[in-house]
Amino acid sequence: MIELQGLTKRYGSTVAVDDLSFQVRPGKVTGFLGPNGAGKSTSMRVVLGLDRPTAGQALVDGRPYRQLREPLRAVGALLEAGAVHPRRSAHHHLLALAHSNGIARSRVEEVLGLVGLDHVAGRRAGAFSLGMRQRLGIAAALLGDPGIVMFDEPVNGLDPDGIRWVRGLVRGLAAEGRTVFVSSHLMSEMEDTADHLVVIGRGRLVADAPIGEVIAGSSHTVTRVRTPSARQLGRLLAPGAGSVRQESDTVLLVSGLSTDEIGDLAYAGGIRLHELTLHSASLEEAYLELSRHHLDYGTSQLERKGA
Amino acid sequence: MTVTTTTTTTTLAPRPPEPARLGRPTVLARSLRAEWTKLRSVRSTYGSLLATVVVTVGIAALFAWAIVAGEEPDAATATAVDLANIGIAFGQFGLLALAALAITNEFATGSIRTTLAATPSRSAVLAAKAAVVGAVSFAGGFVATALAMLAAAPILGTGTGDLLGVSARSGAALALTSLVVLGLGTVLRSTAGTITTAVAVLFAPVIVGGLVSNKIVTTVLDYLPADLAGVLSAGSGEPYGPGLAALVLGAWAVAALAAGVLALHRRDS
Repeated sequence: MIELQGLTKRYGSTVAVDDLSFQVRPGKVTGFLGPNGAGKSTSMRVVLGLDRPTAGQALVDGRPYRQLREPLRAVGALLEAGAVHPRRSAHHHLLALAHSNGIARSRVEEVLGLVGLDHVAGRRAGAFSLGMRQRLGIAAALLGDPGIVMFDEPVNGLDPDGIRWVRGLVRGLAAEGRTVFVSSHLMSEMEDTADHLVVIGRGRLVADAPIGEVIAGSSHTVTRVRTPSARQLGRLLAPGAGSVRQESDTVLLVSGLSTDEIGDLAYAGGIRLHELTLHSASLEEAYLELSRHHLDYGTSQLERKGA
Repeated sequence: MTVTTTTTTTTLAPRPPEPARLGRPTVLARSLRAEWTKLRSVRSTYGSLLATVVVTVGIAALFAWAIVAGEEPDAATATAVDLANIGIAFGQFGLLALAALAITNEFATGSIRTTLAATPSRSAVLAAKAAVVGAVSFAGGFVATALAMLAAAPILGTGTGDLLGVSARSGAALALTSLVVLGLGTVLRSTAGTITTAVAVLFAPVIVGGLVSNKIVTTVLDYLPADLAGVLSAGSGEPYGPGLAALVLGAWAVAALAAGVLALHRRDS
């Protein structure tokens, strides 16, 4: 488990992370979402003891990272591809890491095979493509067979095959009971991968909820209700709903109520329903809406792009 | 016919991290293995060693020929030991570059984060780097000096003198100077900055010392790493002997490495 408690990180007058608290639990994939510059990488560096927090703390399995004596067996992290000496071979890069945590030499060959780099193990890392360097970084993260994995933008630079591979790997690691924490600025990527979402913007927590809840909570998730008594039903639903819009004489668009609730209310009011259809928002829509509510920065950027 | 077996590899259940707390010696020993693996697996290590040996031997041999040809009347009484010491004064920069790169390369590529994530103990990381860089510098300095003496002596038509003693002192001086550079590189982070500063600190005393006769300035210069290393290599000197020179140079190395550990602790990586 990863736990952030009131984490704040300031660089001079810039606040990168602002009083951030959340937990990342085992057995599922937790997506870490936010626009570029929201503080995702900074938070991850603090978790790894690389950056010192200005206030608050980050704990892995209840302990500060710097107290771990064999950290690679506890946490496997992919922070940035290419953080390798360009003239050192993939094999020697991993071997040095294995030695530093008392991990058997045979595990090096194992993880190289796992990420599909066994045939280029002897080649220097500087000659690798971005995708191969990502795979090498993932191999390093898996070296200690850790209970927690933390990947910062793992699909950057990967081709569609590689993206599918990472998705499968991440799902598989969570299915084995590990804590899996994956950051991305791409919502579409998370939609297929994550079970739980932590959304941040400008260093602050925007949402920390199961992915289904995030989508259900969006005003873009609407139920289309067709009924001969649209006006009457509208008045009945209005107090409990997020919004009720009358699209035509017989059609209402309702957000903030489940189909069960709408059906029950209609039944209680003696109103006949001819159609009750749920249109789920995409994660992208839900995310953009969250961002718009919480971040002037995110909104203005997006609007400028759209203009 | 060959039979290939495929095995699933990650599907080992996550094990509880660290059943027992490891002692500091274990962490340091593992760090040593890791740093040794890193140092031996890049070609620049061998290039640096070769450069030091070739330059040291080459300069000693050239000087010897010049003396025999009567072109160096000022140095007519120079021994093989003197020429080896002149050679290593230039040849040392190969290994000093190695010492700088051992840490500055990690900052340049960002692999320092991988290193510190694997070994959070900053002091263990730098102590391990110091041990392997120091050992390689000692070996390189020893071999370069010994070969330089063996090359110069027959040209001069003299004996080599105390081959092992001189080579060991020279290796020790180079090892300690390398540690100063390693500490400096940890604080400065940039390769160019570290090498420039190292060259300035090592050569400035020679240049400034020739121009300035102020007592305070010359006293300060006496205790900078360059003069200390010089006395230690030569085995005699003014105003202190090789023993004190080794001690003071060792203090420089310890101070530089301590500053490096402090920087690694305080700074975000």
